[in-house]
Amino acid sequence: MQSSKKHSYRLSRKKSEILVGYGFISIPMALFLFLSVGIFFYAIYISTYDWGLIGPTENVGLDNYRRALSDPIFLKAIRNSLKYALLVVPIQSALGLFLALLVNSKIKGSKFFRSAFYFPSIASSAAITTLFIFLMAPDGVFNGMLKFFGVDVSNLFNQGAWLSDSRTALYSIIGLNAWTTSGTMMLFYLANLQTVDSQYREAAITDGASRRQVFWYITMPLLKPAHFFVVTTGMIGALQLYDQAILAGGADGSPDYSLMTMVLYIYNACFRKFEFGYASAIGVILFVIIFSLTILQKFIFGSSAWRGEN
Amino acid sequence: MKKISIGAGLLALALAISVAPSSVAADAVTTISVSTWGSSPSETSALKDAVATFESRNPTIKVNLIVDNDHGAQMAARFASKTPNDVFYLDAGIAQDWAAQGVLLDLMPAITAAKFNLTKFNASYLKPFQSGTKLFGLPKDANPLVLEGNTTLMAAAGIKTLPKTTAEFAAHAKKLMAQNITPMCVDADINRLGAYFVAFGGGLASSTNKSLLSSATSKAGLEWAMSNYKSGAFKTPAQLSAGWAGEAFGKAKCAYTMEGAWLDPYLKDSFPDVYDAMIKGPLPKAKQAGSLAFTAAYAIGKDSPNPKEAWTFIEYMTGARGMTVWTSYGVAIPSRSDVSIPLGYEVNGVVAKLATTITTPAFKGWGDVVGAFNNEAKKQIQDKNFNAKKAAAAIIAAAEAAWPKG
Amino acid sequence: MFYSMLIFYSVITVVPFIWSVSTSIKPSDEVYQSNLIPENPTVKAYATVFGKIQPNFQTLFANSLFIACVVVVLHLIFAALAGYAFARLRFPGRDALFFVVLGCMMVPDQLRLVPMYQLLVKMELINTGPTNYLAIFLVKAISAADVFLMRQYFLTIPRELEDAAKIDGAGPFQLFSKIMLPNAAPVLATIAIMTFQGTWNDLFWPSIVLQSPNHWTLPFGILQFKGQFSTDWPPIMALVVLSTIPILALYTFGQRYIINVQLSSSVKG
Repeated sequence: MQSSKKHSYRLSRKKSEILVGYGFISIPMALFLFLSVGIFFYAIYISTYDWGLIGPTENVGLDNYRRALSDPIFLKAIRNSLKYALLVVPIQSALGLFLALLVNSKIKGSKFFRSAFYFPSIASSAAITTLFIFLMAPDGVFNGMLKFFGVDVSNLFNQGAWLSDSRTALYSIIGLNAWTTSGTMMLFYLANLQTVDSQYREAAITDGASRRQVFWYITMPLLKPAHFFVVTTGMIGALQLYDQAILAGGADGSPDYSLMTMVLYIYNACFRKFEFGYASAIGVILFVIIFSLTILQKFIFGSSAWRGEN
Repeated sequence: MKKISIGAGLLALALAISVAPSSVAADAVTTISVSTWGSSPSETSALKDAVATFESRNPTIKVNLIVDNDHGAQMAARFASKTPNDVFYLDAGIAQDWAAQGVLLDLMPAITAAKFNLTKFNASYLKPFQSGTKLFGLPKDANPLVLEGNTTLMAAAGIKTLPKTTAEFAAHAKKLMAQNITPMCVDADINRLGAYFVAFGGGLASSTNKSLLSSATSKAGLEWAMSNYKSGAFKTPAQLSAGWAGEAFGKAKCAYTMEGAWLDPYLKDSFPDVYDAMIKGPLPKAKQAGSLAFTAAYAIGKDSPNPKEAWTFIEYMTGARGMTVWTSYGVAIPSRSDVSIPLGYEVNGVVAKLATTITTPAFKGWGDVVGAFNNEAKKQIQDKNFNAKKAAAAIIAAAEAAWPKG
Repeated sequence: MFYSMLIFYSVITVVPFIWSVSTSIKPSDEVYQSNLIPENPTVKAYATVFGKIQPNFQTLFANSLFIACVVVVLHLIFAALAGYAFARLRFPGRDALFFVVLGCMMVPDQLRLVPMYQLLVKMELINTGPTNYLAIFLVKAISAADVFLMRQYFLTIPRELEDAAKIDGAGPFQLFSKIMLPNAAPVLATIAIMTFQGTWNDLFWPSIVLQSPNHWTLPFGILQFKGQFSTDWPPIMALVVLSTIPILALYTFGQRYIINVQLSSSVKG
């Protein structure tokens, strides 16, 4: 008698748990299914159409994809985006780790330095890029500093026009974003560092390991979750470069399409040429690239990092 | 659950706040929205004044002016959502693209009904907006490129008058550079350098929209421009840390520039000293005097909510009276023959009437040509050691490759 | 050596902002001079951005604040609900659904651009009226990353806390509202701050969705200003300074949450 009562109590508890569970996720899941999953398939659908300002005109199959992959400007946009991501992610991650190690040591004023280093990360990209364009102008502050250190800017190969020279524009933006993003990356590493037990390191040092050995063989492996997080989120963010490119290079990513990125290209296809089907196809290609790179990283870091387990 | 109600409350509050002002308007008044671009705050205020004269004559129509930053993109977004403004600026270069998308309203029926006289408009200003028997915009004004000179800087190099020929320009450039003054600020843009294609006897596009870029004469014009960039006689605004050539000119970073009448109100506002020291004349002649003229129209969208009131607005603004008010601010010169050119803009008027002043091409895909030309041009001149002939050839090749087929 | 490195990098991070403040109070003929302290400081630029330009700072600020607040509230509600369900409740299909959420993290906004825009058009939310705000709320209604973060945090809350309440007969809903939510205050604060910052700074969606100047946000305003004023730097810098101050204040106020909570839970799990 008693045991069956207990049983039914459990059952109802389980039932109510199921009900509450579905209740809690119903709106969020509906939104996900609608705003991400549904939209995803709608994008694929649109990408097979010739779709202008007034709507779809004809189904063109995979023509939009063929056209994209044979457009030199789009290929340049892919190259720029990949080049940007492959350079900016290691730089900002390394810089972030370096800064984290600096402020993690128990020193005076570490709180101040931590705030100072994170500072560039909090301003909007519109604000900071605008500021950057101002500082990097041919007669701006940056060139003024170079002059102070004895570098004659007018004799440089680009005459000090960092953002309006196709050979330096993308690298300038890489510098800008490595600087702004490294603050966020520093926080990720800091969080991880603070959970890493210092006794491992101390033990290693007592065993006679050098500081360099401790860093490479103890600290770095223990930071694996942070590495994964920083590289994955960094890569996804980097492949979506848009704000800085349009602010510095305009809609054409001038000069010489050196700041044309995949996202800027989508924007142009949409709002300059009104080719919504084509723009959708580019979006799908972008997704495929991001997706494959994320999977690739998962393999590199191992699947445990994926779930955030140490 | 409290949070949800807070969120809902916030939302309701916001809706209430934002609804409030629009519901105040009196019944009989229709508000039309007019979207424009503006190159300077003073140009915008000139437009506001002109619009005010319209409103005082048409008390039942109120005008809500919107100045877009990226007019083309913002209009595209509005077309796609079927919410275009009642009236909007229509750039000649993009008119055919938009017309082909079927988003513009044909103005011919309204023109016929109102017995609006089209013959007063210069035919070359109407052409960009025509498609068969349809007309998708009425040119609001025109603007040829002229040469502006800063007499203070010219005097510093012992120069008294503007260069009339390319040879004279070369002589001036030498004198100015000896004084460390940049002779001319001009962007490496087909919408500026194209004037020299014309001056050397070439052009941009034929009447059937075939490319004229590869002709020997056009090439000669571009090579001349490129050699000026190489010698330092030309500098781009970016090289002078300016957003556009007018700004470099206003900051006295160059003795000459080549802009249209839109430069005047900008200088008057921001750089009054340079404005007072400015003189104007035709661009330096090579084989002939050449220039490019720009025009833009007022247009109505197919989905614009108030086409009737919109037409009333356009009829006034592109009519003799409205155009007189608008052009009296010196932002542009009239596109109608029955409106006189305002005092101080005679040079612009003369240049506009020159047989060799061409309006910029307007056909579907012209924007791609402009993009390809400008990108390649900026790339070519960024290296100090470029070869003017090779650079010109590369730029023309890039523009030709982008030229729409067929 | 160690300190000089720290100080050198602090200079690199902080000086540009000081420079933007300095430029915003310079008269235009001093803008390109290298003096940090203006000879003839002026607040003309601030008068410009607060003045009669359309939209002025007040409008942009109100819009940014309104949009960011609503999005924060939405994110908190949905992340807490779904995060709790995925972390603690057992129901059929839970893991499959969570996998869907993880998948959503990988759908870039740019892929959503065209279909989302078409959808908003069909819903008649792309307009110049007040319902235009709903478009931006819908686009930004939910974040998979926040749900993920919330779940990870709930997983770290010891089960013993709940067990005691369970014995007292508390159901899942009471457990959530009485035990889990109060314990999750730090991560909720983190999500609030990060979401606020992200929404406040976003340029992409507002530039596409918001149709009327009366709806524009601060970053979009800066872009517009750059177009309108070309390189007349003082008013542009004034707007840069003004748009950064609120986010700076928020960060100063909430930084201990961001540093101590969010990352340890998201990274470590």
